[in-house]
Amino acid sequence: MSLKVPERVWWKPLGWQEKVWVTVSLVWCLVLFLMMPLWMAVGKQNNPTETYRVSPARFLETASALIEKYKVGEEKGIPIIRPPRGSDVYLVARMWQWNPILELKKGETYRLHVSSLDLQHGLSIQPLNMNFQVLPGYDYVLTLTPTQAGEYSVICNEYCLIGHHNMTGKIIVRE
Amino acid sequence: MAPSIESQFRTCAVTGLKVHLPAQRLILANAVAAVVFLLVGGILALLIGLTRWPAVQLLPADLYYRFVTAHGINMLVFWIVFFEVAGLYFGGAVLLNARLVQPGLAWIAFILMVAGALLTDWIVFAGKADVMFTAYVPMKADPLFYLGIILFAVGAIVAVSLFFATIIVAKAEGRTSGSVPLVTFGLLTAAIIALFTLLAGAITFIPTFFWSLGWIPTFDPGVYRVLFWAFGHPAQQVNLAAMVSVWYALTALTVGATPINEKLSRTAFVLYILFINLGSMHHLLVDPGLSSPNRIFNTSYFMYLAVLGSMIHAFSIPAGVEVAQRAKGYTRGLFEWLKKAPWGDPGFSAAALSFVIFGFLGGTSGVIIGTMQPNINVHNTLRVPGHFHATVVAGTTLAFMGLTYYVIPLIARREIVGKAWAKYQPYIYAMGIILMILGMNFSGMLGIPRRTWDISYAGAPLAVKFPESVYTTLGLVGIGAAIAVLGLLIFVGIAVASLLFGKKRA
Amino acid sequence: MAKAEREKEEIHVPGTMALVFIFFAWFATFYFLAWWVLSGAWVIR
Repeated sequence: MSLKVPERVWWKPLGWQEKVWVTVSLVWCLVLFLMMPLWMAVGKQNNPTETYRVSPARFLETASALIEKYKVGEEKGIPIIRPPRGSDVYLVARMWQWNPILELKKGETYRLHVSSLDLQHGLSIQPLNMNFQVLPGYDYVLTLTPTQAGEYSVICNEYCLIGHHNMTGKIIVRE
Repeated sequence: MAPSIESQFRTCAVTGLKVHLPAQRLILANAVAAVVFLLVGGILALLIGLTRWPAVQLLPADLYYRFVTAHGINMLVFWIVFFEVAGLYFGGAVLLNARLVQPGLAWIAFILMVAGALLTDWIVFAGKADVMFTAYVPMKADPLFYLGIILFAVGAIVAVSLFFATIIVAKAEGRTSGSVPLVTFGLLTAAIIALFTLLAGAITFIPTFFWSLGWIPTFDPGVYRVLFWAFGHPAQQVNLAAMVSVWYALTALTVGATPINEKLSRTAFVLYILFINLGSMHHLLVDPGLSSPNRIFNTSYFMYLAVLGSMIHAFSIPAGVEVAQRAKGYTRGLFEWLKKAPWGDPGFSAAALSFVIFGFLGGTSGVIIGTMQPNINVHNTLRVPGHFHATVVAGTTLAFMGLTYYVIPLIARREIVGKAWAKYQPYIYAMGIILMILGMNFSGMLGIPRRTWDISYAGAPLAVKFPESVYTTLGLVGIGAAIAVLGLLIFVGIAVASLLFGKKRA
Repeated sequence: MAKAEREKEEIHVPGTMALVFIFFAWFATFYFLAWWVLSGAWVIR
């Protein structure tokens, strides 16, 4: 009984049913591991790793210059930019806005830099449901290829104080 | 042995165990503190759940975020750890017929934990720490918030150390010989994991405390996340090992189950110690600054041996019940042993429901969302709380509730008041939790973020539109939370009434 | 110990075997479902 001291020698061989289950479990646990490197080799969605140190001021400066250069309009005072195909794109997270609105082209690959100017934020693209952590001081580069056209919302899914539920942005993908 | 020591023991009429009376008082004090914080956390759960239901949206935004912070800390830290300390004293002293070493120090640990908990709660409810359980820097709380957590952790470290000392002394004094019982062994693994968890907590919160005071100028948010989760996730593995130990204890108490193979069950517990701590890196799968080999290795250790441990328990616990039941003559077909199990005994039904919900919804969802690439679809959505409410609420909390129905008669020596209510309580609680977990998981799959007051984004400059179905799935969260809290209140009511008015047992 | 005797000593838990394989089927289904959902997302590295 589990509440009592066991008999002196409890190191005993397993029965066949236990052996079957332990074997199945062990193989399954190996499959769980192998799927990750396998998907890295053949899958098309892999977690971005490219990261640079950047000060919030420097990141904002770079992003502002690109906004200036590629701005094609505005919505609710937020600039809309149309960056060249395959270029470096900057998305700034701050309390409580994603800036700018991005207009991308379907099937083109962009290097999307994200960083925060203040607290931690969560980049969440909806209804696609792709989610990434955004930290101040880290320039996180997502090499991203939109595969469907349409309008996508960007929300923040890392709590960032009282205005958290007002922090939205937008990505437009054109055919 | 001096006779004065012997006079500190009584012999339990039911189990024949020799119960150390100072240990008994400490078990009760910690268990009562646990239930008080469970009640606080439960009331907050109801308010939060009804706020996430868009049709109700009960609380204003500031109170919602404040109460989510308080709910997380009261439930995940105060309720669980107080109960675990009670469990450690039980598994260390009572199950070994031994004395608890240094009861005076154990009381100091208790006072430190109570003081830390009250300080943290006071700061949070005063609105000086709306930072969530995770308190991610550079978000800053009042320094006393971190100090409260540090005080609580110091108390917990003392309590865990006393548990180790108690086992060593029990052997040295010859009160027990040979291997410790399986339940004590499981609790020992929980305590070992707890020790390095609490040390990681110290490495996280002491510098954060200094940073909040301005003694350290900056605190890198990426480094904080690594440190915090080195504390935050292993803390859940403490709950896991403690919960599995409670499953073994409850199946032994209710149907007389014996582990089918001691070697197998003990090896599974050892796997928890060896293969779980770095696994907390799965919180950082979509963080900047980490390489893929780092993520893959740290979450899996090449072969998920901690998952293997859980899959072994998933076999050996029902197998123990099946053997015990078949020995009683319930041998017809595949499942007569299960049908004839004591489903009206809240100790058994709580263990069984905890086991099933943890396995099917909690453990599996954890492995899936902790896998590197699929985590992209999950990070910080409601699927994350959907996972951990299946593990730590439906799993650990429900198992601890089941054990309480035995702690009250055996340790407090009071009859359970309202046995008819107790019979249904685990089912009500489990039903609520299942609805809530399903609601959270479906909402998360549709992209609903966690810890967000308003998913209609009515105050945001750019509109966000989720599919209409999220209003149904979030409704499920609210309704499920309300039912679960009803079950929780029945539990607290039974526990308090039994302790105060239950008939005294001989 | 004779083989027949040893088999008699072995514990037989057919009900548990059925339960754990039901569990395994559930686990594997939802695990691969997660990969299938991911495959519909944008290309990213």
